[in-house]
Amino acid sequence: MRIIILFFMVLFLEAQNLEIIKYVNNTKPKIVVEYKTLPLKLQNILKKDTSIISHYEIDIKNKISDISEAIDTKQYNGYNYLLRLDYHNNFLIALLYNLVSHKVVLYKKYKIPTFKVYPFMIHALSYDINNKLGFKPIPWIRKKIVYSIYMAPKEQSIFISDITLTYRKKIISGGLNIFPKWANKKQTEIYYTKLARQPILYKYNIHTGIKKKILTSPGMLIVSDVKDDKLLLTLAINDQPDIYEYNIKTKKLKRLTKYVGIDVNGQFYDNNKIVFISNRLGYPNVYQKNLDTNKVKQFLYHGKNHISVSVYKDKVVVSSRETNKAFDNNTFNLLLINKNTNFVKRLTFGGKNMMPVFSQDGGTILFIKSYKFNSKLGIIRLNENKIFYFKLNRIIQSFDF
Amino acid sequence: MKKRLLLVASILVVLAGCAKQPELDVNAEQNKTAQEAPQANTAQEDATQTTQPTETDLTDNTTVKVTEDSMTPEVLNQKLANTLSKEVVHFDFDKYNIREDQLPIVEEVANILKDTKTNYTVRIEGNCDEWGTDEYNYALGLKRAKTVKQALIDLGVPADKLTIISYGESNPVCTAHNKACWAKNRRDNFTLLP
Repeated sequence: MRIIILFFMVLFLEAQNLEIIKYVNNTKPKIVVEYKTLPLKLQNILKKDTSIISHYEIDIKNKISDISEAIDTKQYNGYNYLLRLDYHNNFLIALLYNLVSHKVVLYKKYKIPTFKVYPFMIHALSYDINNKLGFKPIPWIRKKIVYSIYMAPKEQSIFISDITLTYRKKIISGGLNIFPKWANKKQTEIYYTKLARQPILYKYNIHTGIKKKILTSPGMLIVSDVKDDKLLLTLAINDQPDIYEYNIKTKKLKRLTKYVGIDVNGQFYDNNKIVFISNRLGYPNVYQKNLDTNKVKQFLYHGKNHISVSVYKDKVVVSSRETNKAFDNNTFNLLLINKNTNFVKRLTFGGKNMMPVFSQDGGTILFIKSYKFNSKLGIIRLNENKIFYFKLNRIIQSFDF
Repeated sequence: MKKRLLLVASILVVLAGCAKQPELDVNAEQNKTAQEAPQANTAQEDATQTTQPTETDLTDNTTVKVTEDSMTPEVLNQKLANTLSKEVVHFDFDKYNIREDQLPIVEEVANILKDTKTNYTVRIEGNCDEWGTDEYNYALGLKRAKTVKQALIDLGVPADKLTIISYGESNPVCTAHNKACWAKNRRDNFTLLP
């Protein structure tokens, strides 16, 4: 029986390299979990994370008296890793041990200011485990979701949550607060529209609560995309919804589209292009504009009635209205389209699936599935071919992550 | 009779600040309680003077007709707001053109606005059904408001008196999930701005 004194090994952790896991017989790495103290809520989030990530499996097994007690490796035949956890007083200590190479690959302490934010702590742990097992990083799992919820007619509030919607905090309420969008990569500020006498665009710091008025416009004012200091807006200065670019530093507003119908949902694409939704052919579809040449052309030739779009390199995901019933339920499905090969993959089958957004790495899509008085946040793992849903007992109006 | 009209007009000025629209055909029977109220309140007059409405004895049961000429701007606005709130233009699914059967409503709104003797700004509010929550739906609501705004201008309503906004699906009049509700929610409302 091989016994290893872990605390000795931890001293050498800094010098160790990441190990790349090779699947044996196409099976996922298995992690057995031992814990000294680990509230059930934390265990549940860890299980959810593992399911969403889909790169490895975990098996929460035994209680231990101390995180540094000796390991009996023989009892864990069939497992690749041992994860030891101990939570107390808003601290989580995690130790990940490779049962094959007999090396500690992670030893880390996670601290949270209050227990309420525990989902973010577990997401940080899951992010690290995934990295240490040699998989492609998944930064999106640590992100905050900002979303607007329908509370009552003319009343929508803005909340922030973790990716499983377990943590929920209302940050803006009173009146119609819609279309929140993260203002920076650190996720400390958001843009959102308040519908008052006219729509007003605010920038709001979620930590300080400081709110700054950015713009007002008659009719309609929505932030569709943010890229550094530039915003893509849907504005209706002359009662006409078109796409504008606004530079937050220079305060310059530039009109990018001019069409008598509907132009909305502008997204930055490549370095010098935007894609957007327009009804130029009598139905909503995806178009692109080259900002250097000012040429507008149809972006997708597959299907029609695409009402929202997100683009990652050659991959395009659209929400497509597949029925046209005035007096019956309509179906909105998500389609993944490869721009170069015209390969089309149906991602959802039935219901009302809307507002798809690619993760920064393009491997995951978040979207909203609505049903009567409820919404679900959907997470599609493209390479893993899986969809996960997290339910809210309210209607989500829009979201960003 | 002239004196009586002035009295009625002064009552309406006060009632204009209330949430409920005052009846223009004033029935004296309804004011019997109002007749008693000032006496009851005399003792606490100082404390309530600034918040309580002044109520006046109308003496008999005669019904008094009030013409618009004798109304203050506040009363006229109140009347206009109330009238406009009842006007609704409905649209077809995913459309923003005015249906033929809705044209008389637009014409009626145009006549109301042209006939009003008060200074006003009216906001046309475009609304949608629940089949879409994103930007396209808000734009659809805006186009519905814009179409009606243009029709009103064509019918002679000054453009600078009209403004538009879209509420997308955020302001339903009907929250059930059925076809009757969806049809009711695809609409334009008219709101008199303060």
